[in-house]
Amino acid sequence: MTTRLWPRWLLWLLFVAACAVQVNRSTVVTDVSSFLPGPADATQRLMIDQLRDGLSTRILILGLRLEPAAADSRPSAAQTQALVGASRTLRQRLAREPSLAWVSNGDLDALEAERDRLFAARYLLADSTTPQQFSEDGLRQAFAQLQDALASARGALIRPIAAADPTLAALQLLDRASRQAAPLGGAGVWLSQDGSVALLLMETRARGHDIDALRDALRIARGNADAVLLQWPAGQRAPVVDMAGAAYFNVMAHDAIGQDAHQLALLALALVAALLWWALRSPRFLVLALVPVATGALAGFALVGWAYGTIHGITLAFGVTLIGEAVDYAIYTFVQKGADDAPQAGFWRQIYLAALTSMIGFAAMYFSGFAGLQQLGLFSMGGLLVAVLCTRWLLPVWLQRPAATTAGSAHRFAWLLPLSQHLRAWRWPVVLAALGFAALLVQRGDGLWMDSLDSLSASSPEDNRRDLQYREQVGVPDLRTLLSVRGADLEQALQRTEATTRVLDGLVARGLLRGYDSPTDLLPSQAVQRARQAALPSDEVLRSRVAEATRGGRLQAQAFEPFLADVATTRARVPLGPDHYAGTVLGAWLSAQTMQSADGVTVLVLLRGAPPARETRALLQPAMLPGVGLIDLQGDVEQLVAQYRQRAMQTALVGTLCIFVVLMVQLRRPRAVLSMVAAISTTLAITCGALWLLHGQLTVFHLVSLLLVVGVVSNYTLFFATLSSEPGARQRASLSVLLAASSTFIAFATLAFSSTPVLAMIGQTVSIGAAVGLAGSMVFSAEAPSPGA
Amino acid sequence: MATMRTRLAWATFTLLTLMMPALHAQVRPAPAPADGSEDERLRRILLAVAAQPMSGTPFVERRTSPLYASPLELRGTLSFKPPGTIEKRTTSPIREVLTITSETLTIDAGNGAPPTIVKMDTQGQLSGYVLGLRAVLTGDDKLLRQAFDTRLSGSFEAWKLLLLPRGAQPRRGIRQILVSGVGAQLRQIDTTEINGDLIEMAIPPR
Repeated sequence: MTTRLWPRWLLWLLFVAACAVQVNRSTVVTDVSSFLPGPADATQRLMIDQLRDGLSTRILILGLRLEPAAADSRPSAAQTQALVGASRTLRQRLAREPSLAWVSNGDLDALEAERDRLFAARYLLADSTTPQQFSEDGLRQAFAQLQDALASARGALIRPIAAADPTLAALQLLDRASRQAAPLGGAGVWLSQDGSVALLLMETRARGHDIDALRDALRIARGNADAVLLQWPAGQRAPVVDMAGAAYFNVMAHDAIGQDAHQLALLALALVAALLWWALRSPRFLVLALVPVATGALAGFALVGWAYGTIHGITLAFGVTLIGEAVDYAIYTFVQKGADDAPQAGFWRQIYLAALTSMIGFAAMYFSGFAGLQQLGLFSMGGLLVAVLCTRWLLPVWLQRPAATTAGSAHRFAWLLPLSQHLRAWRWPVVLAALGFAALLVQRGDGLWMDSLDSLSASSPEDNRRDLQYREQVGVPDLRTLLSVRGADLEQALQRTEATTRVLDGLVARGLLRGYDSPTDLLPSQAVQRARQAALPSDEVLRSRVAEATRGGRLQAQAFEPFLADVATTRARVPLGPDHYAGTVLGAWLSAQTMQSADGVTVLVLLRGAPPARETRALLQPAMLPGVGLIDLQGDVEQLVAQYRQRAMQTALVGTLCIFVVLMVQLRRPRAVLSMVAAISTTLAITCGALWLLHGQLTVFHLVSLLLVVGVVSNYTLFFATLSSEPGARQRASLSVLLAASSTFIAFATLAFSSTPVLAMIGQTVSIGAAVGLAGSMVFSAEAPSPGA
Repeated sequence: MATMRTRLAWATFTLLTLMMPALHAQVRPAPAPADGSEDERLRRILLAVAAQPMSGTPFVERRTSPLYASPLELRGTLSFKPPGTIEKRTTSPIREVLTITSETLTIDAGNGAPPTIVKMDTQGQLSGYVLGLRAVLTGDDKLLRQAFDTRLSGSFEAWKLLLLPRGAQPRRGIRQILVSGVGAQLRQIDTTEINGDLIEMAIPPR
């Protein structure tokens, strides 16, 4: 017999090798967007692109934070001074790093190239470039104002530019920029209120989903910071390096999920092994049970990698689940097969049926529509199928047990059958409790669900809080509300953006919007630039107007030759294109906010301090010109998640129904099926209720985990509801379910301690569900034949 | 445009410099002149100047600039309020109050518009100069030398102190400051800017 097994094992080896090759070729991703359903329209696609790769995903914030010596002591002036110095040195170093598109510490002096390009283009960029401004009257007024301003203490501010820019167009640009920029305080670089944190803001060149490149950029930023801090005055405690921003969180989430999955899988494996050792005392079983578990997990990953090219980190973490789920079949086989190894009538049929019901639960996940959850479904289905096949075709002979083991474990678990019979008395109270929970949950309606992006996020609340704080201090807008303006080409997109910003200006003036960042501030449409050029008088005309305007005043016309020269240059030049800002921070920002695609150009306008989405939408109604769309990253995502959740709920219901139909058709025992329906339904209601008591709200991940609960609990109840009348078989079946449920519980309870919120949610749901499900299956188990019968 | 803040810093510095005479305008019996090293003489002059109280001392400031057809003349008063507040009140040709403390610089046009306030404690380029000027006010020559190279000439009865900013010469800002005085009285502060402007502040003897 063993000789006939060798071809199977050879086949298995080949299969494992093929899977390993496939897994090796797949990359692991962790961005939230892959857990979103596919985009339905252009705006949604844009939104998802923004979530995946947009500017907001490439922002990195680095903080040099002085630890206070005492609880609320402020750093000394000398310490703050040293911090400012470190910030400047670090900025210079980072500016030379090719993996960063740009870096700023708030120091405007460091942005000399940017300032020079803006100054050179000031008459094309400023709204004040109008025929009126350059008329005789306009200029006379401007020169009079300039004369007064120069006499003031403020004069020192404008003195350096006065000869080239007597109309102070550059100040208008400065005003606009300073309204957008974060306040600097007096230090000249970004410092926290109490002077204990210096902040640097940068953008990685790596795209948001390119985790390895992001990690490199992070490493380089931190390495530079550490190198700069080596110069910290000896004998004083150097600042610590903090990081925030989406680029950082992406990498952290990725690594945390990977690490969690790895460590928790090992821990779960050890705990499950310990449990099975304690219960069964069979080292051979422990080793062999690994075969279906490991093969299943590998096959699952390979399947997902083959179907999608990438594997999501959460799917990877879900590998843990297979320890709890796939080992079940080895347990059923080992425990339930008779001591004499005679093939049990209908045993394999029951195992296949159990696997089938589980797979229907996972299929519900697959049909949900979320790419990430499809992965989970596919992974679980493939993994489970392979695990069952391995159990059936590779293990049986190897799992022969000495009769002593059976007797021993039967003896130690003698309490099990009486317990399950005792629990039967609780049927009605359990049903009532479940109905109570169900009524309560139904009454909560949509309020039961938390659909925000944060519920999908893998980062911890503390990280999010620090991120928010740092972003506010460096003036990075929340980047959650933006307008997309589409045009057939750049010029059309810019013209439409200009029409839109006129509406936005009105909202800002009315205090309904705090502000906005539009690419047209840097790059007005050609039409607007030409109109401004046309507003500039010819050299002779301007010369005579300046002479006229300065007549009788203290300022002398000859001093303003630089002004005449700059105006003449501006008039004659080709209008600005995006290349005007090449190689500067402004250029990087501009290219992030203008996107070229096959069917045109899309310009993004960031809204600051926008009211809630619905109000914003109403306010912006007049701005909704052709090609303009409002993207409310938070709201739109919430809507998508809610839509998805409803769909997942429907598929879950359909899946559960399918399970019942399959059971009915296969078993043809209405009473048993009714018990199973009762066990599964009460388990779901009580598990939901328990989660609700724990968290107050449920997320889409709880819902998905419930599908898994349906999958495993259907197995438990299948065995309990169809207990045979033979006491030995009853005992073995009960024991196998107890062990299967316990191993599932242990694996997922381990996951529940993950620091990654998503993994913790899945772990809690399934561990609670497995425990409740085991109890429920016993409560609704088949009645033992009376001793007399 | 980004250097606005720096320029304001320079302005502060200039103004502080301009105010030095006023702070010490009131005459006191001069201490007996004594021979010694330049360091020692400077220390003696600074101590004498620093000992002068001041309130509402008139000044005349004359600005010559390539922008101007004829020099601009500002008049007003200077006050020093211990421990460290300096007030420059311009009355003609514009009205404006500039208040300087060791931490902030406030420009108030007095027309109801919110005053411009600049915090300066940690302004990298400024702090050296502020430290130096506060050194003059408090008679601390060591602090003064941190910001400037100093060259003292003349006698205690008629001295001249040339201040040259230390470190790399900025693109914009101050080329030099020449402070002159008679004993404990400051008389004249001439500031030459890199852009060619000359600001001469005179404190007439009273």
